[in-house]
Amino acid sequence: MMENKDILVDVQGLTHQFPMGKKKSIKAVHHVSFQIRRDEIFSLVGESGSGKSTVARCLMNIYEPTEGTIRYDGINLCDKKEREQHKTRLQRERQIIFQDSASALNQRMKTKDIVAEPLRIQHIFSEKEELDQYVRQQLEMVGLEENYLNRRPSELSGGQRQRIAIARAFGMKPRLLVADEPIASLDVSIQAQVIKLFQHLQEEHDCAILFIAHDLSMVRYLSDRVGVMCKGHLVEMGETEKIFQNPLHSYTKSLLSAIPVPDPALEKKRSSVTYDAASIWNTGIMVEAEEGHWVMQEEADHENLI
Amino acid sequence: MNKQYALEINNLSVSFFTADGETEAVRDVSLSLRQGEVLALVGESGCGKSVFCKAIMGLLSKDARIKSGEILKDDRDIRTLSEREMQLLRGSGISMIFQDPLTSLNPTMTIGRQIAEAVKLHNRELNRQQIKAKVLELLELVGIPDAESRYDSYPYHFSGGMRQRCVMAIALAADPQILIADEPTTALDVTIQAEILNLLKEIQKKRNMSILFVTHDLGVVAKIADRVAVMYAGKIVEYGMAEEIFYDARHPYTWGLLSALPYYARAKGELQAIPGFPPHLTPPPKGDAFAVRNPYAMEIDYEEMPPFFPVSETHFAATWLLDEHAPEVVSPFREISKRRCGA
Repeated sequence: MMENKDILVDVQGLTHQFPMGKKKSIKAVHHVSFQIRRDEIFSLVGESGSGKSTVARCLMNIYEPTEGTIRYDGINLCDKKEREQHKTRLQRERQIIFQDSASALNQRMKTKDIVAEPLRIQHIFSEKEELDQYVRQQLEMVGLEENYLNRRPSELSGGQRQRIAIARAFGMKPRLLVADEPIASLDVSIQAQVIKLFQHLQEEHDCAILFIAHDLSMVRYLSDRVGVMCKGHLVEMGETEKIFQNPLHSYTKSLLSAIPVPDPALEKKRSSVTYDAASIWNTGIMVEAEEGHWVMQEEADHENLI
Repeated sequence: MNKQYALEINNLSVSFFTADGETEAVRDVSLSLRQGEVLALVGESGCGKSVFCKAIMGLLSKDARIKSGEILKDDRDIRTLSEREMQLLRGSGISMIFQDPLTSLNPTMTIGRQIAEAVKLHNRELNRQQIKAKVLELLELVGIPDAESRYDSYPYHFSGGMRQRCVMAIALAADPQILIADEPTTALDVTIQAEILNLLKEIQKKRNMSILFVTHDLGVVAKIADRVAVMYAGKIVEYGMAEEIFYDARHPYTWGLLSALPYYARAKGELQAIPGFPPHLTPPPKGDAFAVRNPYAMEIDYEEMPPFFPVSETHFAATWLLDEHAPEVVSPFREISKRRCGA
């Protein structure tokens, strides 16, 4: 297991239910447990509706989990009192980037004010000049020049807006960054630009990133460890290369076989594996198949473990 | 007209006339779709691929105009057809499916009725039972299980993948010779995408259809396409057989697109981004539109538009790098892909 002092986020048995009417409810996340180290990029992958975003939102206290605990650097995020006690610190150190930057950014604010807003709220700079200087620096770092300072989000392209969201998040020097599908709405060449930016900033600031994406090749390129989610369950978790080279859960296998590979000779030979997700509704437990590589085993086939 | 072509487009230019002036969305594009092939049109958003498709379908908005060029189908220029003739052609000659299946379907009509509507339009002589039989046949063709009971379902009863199948059933209702698919799987999950692509390929083989497949996902292109055309800033910059484009690309933009794929960049820091952003087309830049983002650009690139240089009988690229006076440049992508394939 990991050293305790290395762990920034510790999620244990996280369950989140959405109410559906008065009597029914739907479980979006089922008993999910994982940890994120201080300097790693951890990715969650899975199809839409698998609960990845719900986990991310629980981590940011946007949703209140139904069951389970989330500890951020020892602080129990599910406890209101404890959260209130560390409010300033939590707001400063945790940042999130959403998929659709067009709706995440305030349309009426100028670029520089969007980036400056969280800094101003936290009183990080006492002098206005200092703040301006810093904002300019941040925008420069994400590749936006001076002439973008006074523009509004509607005047910018999707790639540029996403850069502003990134500049705003990284400007706070977060220790945990949650990026919920930050590149899904971007073009291929712009995606590469944004991912390079992520890598660069992560190395410089030395923070932990929870990266959520459905583009698995990008996940493989970027992240240190991966968790695979299906219908609210975390079915497999481990180091990126281990998961991609030796997937154990049949859902992971089917997901990996479905990504089209940009190589026509290879792609035309491949066949995809199908997986019936219906069986996943039964609860299973996580079993360590090899060191650091966990896979969910359904209770029925406990005896025939690997 | 060559017999092997299902659709021939020559020197097509489409412009939008807006308050800011003329935007040249499609610039002098010549592209032919062969009988029974899947031709992928690849490019980033805003490069004009959707406008190109809409021009073929005669579905351009009012502020757009075809400035020049011809679109030949069965020796006739589509542009000379009356709206009535065009309506007959849409569906039976050329059909189209769009990216978002929900906006293409009527939310207040059952799936069965929507498909029946398309069947009825093109087969006036059929009676009610025959139409229903045809609809059920179509639903089965696109892989919707238990078609009989699904006939009376509404679009909101279906998942995204199922909706896209329904849209396909409508598009295929009148046995089109040509199908234009504009990013049909972009809104879907990878596992559903794989199913839809397999289905599309299967139907294409069964009916010997020609498909113009528009996408920005090169993985999807590798899976489905026989031939590939790469579009940038309103122009086709390179086209050829799928293998030629993936293994022997000649245009720097194609290199850039391929190098931007994480698939080919295993080690951290190897991912290559194309610097800068696509140009504005109001008005388009002089010379090669890609020149400002192109590390191999020469003086002539800023002055004059490069013509198509032949690489092989089927492979053409519009870059001055292929001119005999140009310095020898080795594709930076070739090394990367070699290493990848060797690994």
